[in-house]
Amino acid sequence: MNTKPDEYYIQQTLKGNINDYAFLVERYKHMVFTLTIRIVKNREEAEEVSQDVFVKAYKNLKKFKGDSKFSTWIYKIAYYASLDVLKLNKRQISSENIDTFKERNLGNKDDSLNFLHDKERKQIINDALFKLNEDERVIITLYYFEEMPIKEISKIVDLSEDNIKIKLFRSRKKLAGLLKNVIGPNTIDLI
Amino acid sequence: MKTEKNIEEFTKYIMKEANVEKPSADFVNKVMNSVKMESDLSVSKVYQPLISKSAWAAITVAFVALYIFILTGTSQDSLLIPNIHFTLLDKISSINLFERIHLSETFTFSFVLFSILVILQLIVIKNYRGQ
Repeated sequence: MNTKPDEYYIQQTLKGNINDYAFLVERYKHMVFTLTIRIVKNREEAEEVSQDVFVKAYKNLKKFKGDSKFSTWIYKIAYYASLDVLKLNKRQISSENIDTFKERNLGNKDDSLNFLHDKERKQIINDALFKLNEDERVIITLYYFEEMPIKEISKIVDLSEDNIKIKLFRSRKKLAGLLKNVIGPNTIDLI
Repeated sequence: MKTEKNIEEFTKYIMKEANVEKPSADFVNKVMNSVKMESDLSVSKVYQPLISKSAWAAITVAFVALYIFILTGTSQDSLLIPNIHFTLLDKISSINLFERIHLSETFTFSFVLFSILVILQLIVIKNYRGQ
């Protein structure tokens, strides 16, 4: 349906065809919502923030010069808008320190709970994701869901590429440590 | 090295399981309603000058008329300015209310510094809120 490039819809919107902006909203709503919910941790609030993100992007569309991708630009707006909400709410729960995770323990297959239903599995994975820091959550989401290159991610979160690589490495280890016994360790041999 | 590779595979697997989050069904409609409201606002927000063109024309005509009147009507009879006594103003200005109040240098200095800081804080807060 909306197979045209972002630039086309941006130009149309700027010309006054506001309805074309809906295609951009449709295209990026899932990822913007996923990013915001990963940070604010509340569905209703994330929905509100996501809506504000798209309205803010519309208001500033003239300022979008096309130096980066539209997706990078809007994800950046979403990232900072979510952080602002988090700052205002002061509800930030300190991330668990699970750096002491031992790689050697990954092979404990006896505690496996891979008979869990899909919904439960999804909930457990999301709970594990929420135990990462905000920036780690965003980085891992962009890297694996959006398959975004590290260079683009660095533009969104304002961190160096090396820093992102380190954070990705740490996040992967943390997640593996949290989920090793829950999500089918038989699927992949981690030893 | 093998463990790192396996952890990466494992992360890919669990992230695939997690999926993207989906907003409510009417998300796009809600956004578009807000966008349309914004668009209407920006259209209706065409600023009108405080003094319209016709008002400027009237002011110009009035000034020109006054100028001509002053230049041409030079007779004393046509310019009757009431005889106002300005001596009262002199009296008022000669009263110094702060004559008996003496402020130390420390107080003056701290008061000025405090005022500057308050103004600075106001500017900073205004910028922060306005972002």
